[in-house]
Amino acid sequence: MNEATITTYPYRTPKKYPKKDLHGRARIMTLFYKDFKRFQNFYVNVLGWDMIELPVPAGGQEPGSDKPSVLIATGPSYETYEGVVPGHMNAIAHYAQEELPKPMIFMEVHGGHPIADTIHDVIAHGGRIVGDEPSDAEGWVTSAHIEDPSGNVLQLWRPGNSRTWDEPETGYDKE
Amino acid sequence: MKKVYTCYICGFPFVRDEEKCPERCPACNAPKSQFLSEPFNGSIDNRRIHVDFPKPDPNWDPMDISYHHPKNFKPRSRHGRIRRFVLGYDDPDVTRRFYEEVFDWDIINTEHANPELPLMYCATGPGNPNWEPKFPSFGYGFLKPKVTEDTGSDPRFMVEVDNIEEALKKTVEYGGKVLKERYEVEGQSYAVVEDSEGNALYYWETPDTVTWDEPESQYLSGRPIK
Repeated sequence: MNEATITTYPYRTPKKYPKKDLHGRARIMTLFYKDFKRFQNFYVNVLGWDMIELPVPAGGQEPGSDKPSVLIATGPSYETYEGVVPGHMNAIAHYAQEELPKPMIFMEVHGGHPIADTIHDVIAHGGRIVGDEPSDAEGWVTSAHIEDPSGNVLQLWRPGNSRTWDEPETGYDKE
Repeated sequence: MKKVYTCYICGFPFVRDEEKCPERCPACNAPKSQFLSEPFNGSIDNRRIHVDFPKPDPNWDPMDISYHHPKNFKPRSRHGRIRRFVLGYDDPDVTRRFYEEVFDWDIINTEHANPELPLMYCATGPGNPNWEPKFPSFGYGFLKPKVTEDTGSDPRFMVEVDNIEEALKKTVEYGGKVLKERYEVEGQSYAVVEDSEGNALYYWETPDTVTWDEPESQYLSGRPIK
């Protein structure tokens, strides 16, 4: 960054998020690689990341693939690879078959709403869908790619309905 | 019939109709043969089968990507954590409105931002007064004018490091490139690098104002002992 300090924001605190909803939270950074061993060697040794194969039900490859999708703890994390402490994002990495896509935010959107509602809002505010029209699937695999008005691609993820809301990552501003 | 399944490998409980039970655990990829099951009794909290969660194994080979509990990260260090996302913008007002109205972000100009083309800081969920996330597993980040990107690489995320020079040395040693050496802005130190695959990212050196009491500075790994 080169325009300003980033550590102090003296004039107000962030707004409250009182809804039982994680809509808009930037949950994970998604990265891409061409050579998994090279990628892993870099991030394990330079930044100390810890990786597991992304489970098949969550969109991963078959176990043992040489082009695995991996779930990455970049900081202290639970056995589920959700963060334990606030302030950092974990990551997912996928093999890039063609040109390396830019890293992108994996963002949670309204649970319990059709993902088409969010896509409608995206388009109404100058964004667009990338790829196929998304459809709602049962469980935790509903997602869509969109582009914001500046051309940044984001992956939107609509969660399943089996949350207990006791999970540490589901905290919200209770009033 | 609805059932609660608990994975014997990772301890993860989940509810499914019996006929839709997945072949592999949604959390750890273990095969269905490792699931313990019981009737669903109105809430997952009412289940009677509980499996202890695994603990970090200090001898785990860091190159082994089969399921394991994440390692214990070292105390008094935020080295390696992805701390911010960064998105470039063309038009500040359009982009700001997009994220505020579609995704409910709280966006402010940073303290000394250029009012015409501000660097904007974004809360994407609940936060503490120091503008750090209040809960785990999500991040805050920046909207940055594309025209101020001077490395031509469009870095999209920022990783905190203990020491920039050491991180740059290792970056090169493990196949990355240094795109911009250490630079300082108002007491904060940054660098821009490319990883072994060509992804650009920022390094941000842990500021010396960190007290290690901040929630985001903690290093607890795994579930707190009750």
